Amino acid sequence: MWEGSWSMKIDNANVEPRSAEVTRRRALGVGVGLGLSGWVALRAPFSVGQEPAVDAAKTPAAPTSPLVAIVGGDVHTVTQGIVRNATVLLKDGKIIGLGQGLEVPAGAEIVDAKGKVITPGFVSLNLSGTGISGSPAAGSRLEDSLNPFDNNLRFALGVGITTGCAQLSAGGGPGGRRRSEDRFLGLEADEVLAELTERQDDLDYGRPVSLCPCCGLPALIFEPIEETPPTPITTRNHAVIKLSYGHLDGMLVKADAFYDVTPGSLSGALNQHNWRRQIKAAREYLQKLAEYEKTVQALKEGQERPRPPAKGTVTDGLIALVKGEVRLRTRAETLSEIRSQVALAKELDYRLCLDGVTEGWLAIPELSESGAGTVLTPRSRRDARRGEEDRSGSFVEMPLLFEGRGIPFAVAPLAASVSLNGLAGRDLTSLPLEAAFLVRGGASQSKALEALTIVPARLLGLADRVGSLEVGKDADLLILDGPPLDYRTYVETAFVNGQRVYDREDNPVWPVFPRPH
Amino acid sequence: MRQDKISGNSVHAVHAVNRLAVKTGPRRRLLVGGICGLVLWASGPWSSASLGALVQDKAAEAAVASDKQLPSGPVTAYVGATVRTGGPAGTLQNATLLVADGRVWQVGVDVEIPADARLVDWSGKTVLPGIVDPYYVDSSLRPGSGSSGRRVINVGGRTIEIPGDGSAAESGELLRVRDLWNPNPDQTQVAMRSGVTTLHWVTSGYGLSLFSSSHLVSEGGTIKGLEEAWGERVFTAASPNAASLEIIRRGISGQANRAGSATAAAPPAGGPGRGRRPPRLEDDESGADMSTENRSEEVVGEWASDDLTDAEFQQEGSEGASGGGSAGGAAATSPADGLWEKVRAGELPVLINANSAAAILHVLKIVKPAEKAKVLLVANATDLYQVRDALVGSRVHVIVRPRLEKVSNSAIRFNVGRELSARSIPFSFSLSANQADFQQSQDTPLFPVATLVKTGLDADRAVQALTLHPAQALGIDKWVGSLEANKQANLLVFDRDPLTDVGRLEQVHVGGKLVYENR
Repeated sequence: MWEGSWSMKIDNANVEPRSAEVTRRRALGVGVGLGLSGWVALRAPFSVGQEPAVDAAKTPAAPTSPLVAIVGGDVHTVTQGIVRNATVLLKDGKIIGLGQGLEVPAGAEIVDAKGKVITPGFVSLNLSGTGISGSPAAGSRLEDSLNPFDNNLRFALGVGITTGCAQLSAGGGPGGRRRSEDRFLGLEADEVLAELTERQDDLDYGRPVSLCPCCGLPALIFEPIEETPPTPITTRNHAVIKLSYGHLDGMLVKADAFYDVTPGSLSGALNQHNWRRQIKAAREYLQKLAEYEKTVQALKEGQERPRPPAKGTVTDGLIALVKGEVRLRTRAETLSEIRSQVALAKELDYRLCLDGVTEGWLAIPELSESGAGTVLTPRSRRDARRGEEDRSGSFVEMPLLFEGRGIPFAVAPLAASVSLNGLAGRDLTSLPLEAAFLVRGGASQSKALEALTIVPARLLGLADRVGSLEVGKDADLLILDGPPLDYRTYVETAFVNGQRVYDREDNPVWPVFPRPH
Repeated sequence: MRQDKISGNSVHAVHAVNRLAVKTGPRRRLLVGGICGLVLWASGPWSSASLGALVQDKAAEAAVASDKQLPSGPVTAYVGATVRTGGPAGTLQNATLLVADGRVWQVGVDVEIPADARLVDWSGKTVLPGIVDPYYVDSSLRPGSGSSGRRVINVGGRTIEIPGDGSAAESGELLRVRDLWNPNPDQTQVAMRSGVTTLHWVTSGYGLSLFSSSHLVSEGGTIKGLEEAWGERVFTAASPNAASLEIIRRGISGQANRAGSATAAAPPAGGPGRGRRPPRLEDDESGADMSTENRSEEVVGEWASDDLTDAEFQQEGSEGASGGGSAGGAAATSPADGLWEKVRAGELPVLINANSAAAILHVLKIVKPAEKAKVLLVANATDLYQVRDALVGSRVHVIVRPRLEKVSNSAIRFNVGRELSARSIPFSFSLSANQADFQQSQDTPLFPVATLVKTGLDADRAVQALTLHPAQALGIDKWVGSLEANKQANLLVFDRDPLTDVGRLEQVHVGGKLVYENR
């Protein structure tokens, strides 16, 4: 799955020593570009599964706009290598041409990007308090709550985020919201459960081992559990939005990109039992629906239509999950949480997207086999458990291990919102910085850039629209004044849906001053 | 009001006003009669008893009385002033203004003054038409302000009251200024002292407006000066949320405009993650009372019991069935429905107060398909500046506070009037948009406008934005809005030109009467 050779090639092309070279590089932009240039045609290094084409046709295209030609930049396409000194043509919100020496049609607006770096707009899987006003109630028109003039959009655009997955509601499970903060004798509740399950080989996840709902202590339930119909899990609703500052059209991309649940919803034997029943019910419903449709098609004139199958407690989200249209997204930090989710996903046959995955370096084989997508935050740390220092807690080189085994990873910053904490490099605006920490943990530059672009796009089911620069994809791209993962790099211009939505000079949200280099 | 004085033969106007009288109902005849009196400056002896006999004429046009026709009452001639007419005549130097029977009779430079006219020398003064405030907000016009916005929902047989946030747009409750208004002559004094002579009363939220003069007189227990014959206009508020936008969407499209249920949001796009059932194929005759039962989409979290989802199911089933026919049964008609119909036909405007730049974009998107609808967009200048290019060609008329404002998130000031003019976006000013400003600058009420003129807005355009354009936008320019023959003699007298200098407001005349003098 993983091919080291091409990654080296990219690295050689990609890594620009950022020292006194910079000015020279800028001066010689064209020459260097021509020298190193050429399509480094590559295929996608891993597949996060075949994503169904979603909403591409339904989404309103940006209004007819003049053709824009971005000329002379080094284009990091992400999926097709780097094209030096390239021309990118944008029209009506799409990329209509990309390559060297393209003829620029007359009348096009020309953007000079000589010596600049061009990348796809970054995709953030977490977005909070940005672009959506208030907390729209479930069931209301989501597009009515969009706020294309939210100033936070400009902060986010200023670090290169052009697409984001905004969380709209908290969600919760029927079994209460047990969080890992619930501690028992100095151990986290889930770790207690993990110890019970991991140390006694004869206990499997399906056994009635759970925490007492009243006191939170681990309890072995000996009495038979009464059969009650499983209550549907309340999912966290998402909206995928483009950060199209000032433009309402084309801002909302899709309503729900994940079946997102809190970890508590699927932990504990009772919850897992209910979860299995729900998945089963959803599959049965789909089967009945298929049979019903077959029957209806075979109907002759005048024959009475049968009743369609009842959905019962099966939700649309559940159906999308079972059909493979969306992934189940949940937070799984510890080894036991990761194993539990991976095992459930394997057993019930759905796809996963795991947040956190702090102890994922201990579950490499399972994660690799499961095809789960992961969302890493390299700077989030977790202490090792006493006595298990070698097999618990966080590990700085996890990105290296993930990359080596082809486990797809996106990157998320320490917080999902724009805040003053950004001064300390912790909020949403530190997203590219977080990706640089992937490199510190052993990931290649190209993989770190993928973690900002195509991987989250695939996890969202939007790889056909965003996440890389290819002809036909959405014209969401950044003009950077340096390599994308360098902490000194600023976004100079951001295009979303082919429209120039951010210019560093016009938007004093980030300081504009000459750097002495 | 002055029926005794009216004589003549201008039946047309009587007919026009009488048509309004029929609409407003017989109990307002007397008052309408008063307005007839205002409209007809050249009429014969006339009483409410003869009203029926007058309803014969086919023409509904306003009195197109000739300038040469003599008025019945005494004529006052104001001479020597600079007159900013607000109308096509523009600004006239050393002009003569003839006023009779409460209306403007003639205005011009070489107007012949009748021998018996009372002469008033206004040399050195500048005269403006009375200001028309198209968005005069009285936020105290709210029924039981403590409970506003509360919603009662029905969940599985239980009724639960959800406290609102106080915004009527959220609750979708229709407020009628006519019913809430406290007719106290004192409360319009502020407006009058600022030179605002015509008020278009609105309140926050969603409702129907009311017109009045700023000169209200209490006579024998009734209030004179209420312009009920001018009708009501729909106003509403827009912010980036489904509840407020749905009111506009339904009104503009004319679909399922159910009173009091505007919070019931339209079905979502149908993405995964929302448990919704398809409508049943069979008609569900559960007889759900649609007028009181809210859509259970609003119910979240713990209440999502099985009972509830069943209720939702039935609700949706019955709605689906009633979509084509009239099975809805309890489809209550609201007093707003008729007005919305006229809005869709382009006969009456709708006022939409957009609270943010995003809200403006939402509104523009919603009203775009309604090609006939006249939309008066109330917004602040900073927001307008952000969407200035989207406003071009959008057909909306903007109502804004006249002031030099700052570009969002910056210290740069801009002239909203000039920006709008440059893009040919029609606009009016609302002086009362900031009450504090409005009350503090009563000696020189047009100072904020003068700053706009100093920084590039055409002075005559500024006068029109204060007078003629709001009157035209609201459809009351037949009566007010400029100093032209036959219109109400609402005059403002300044000691110097208030648009190019710091002009003090010295006198306010309403209906030809001096009603305020600034000493």
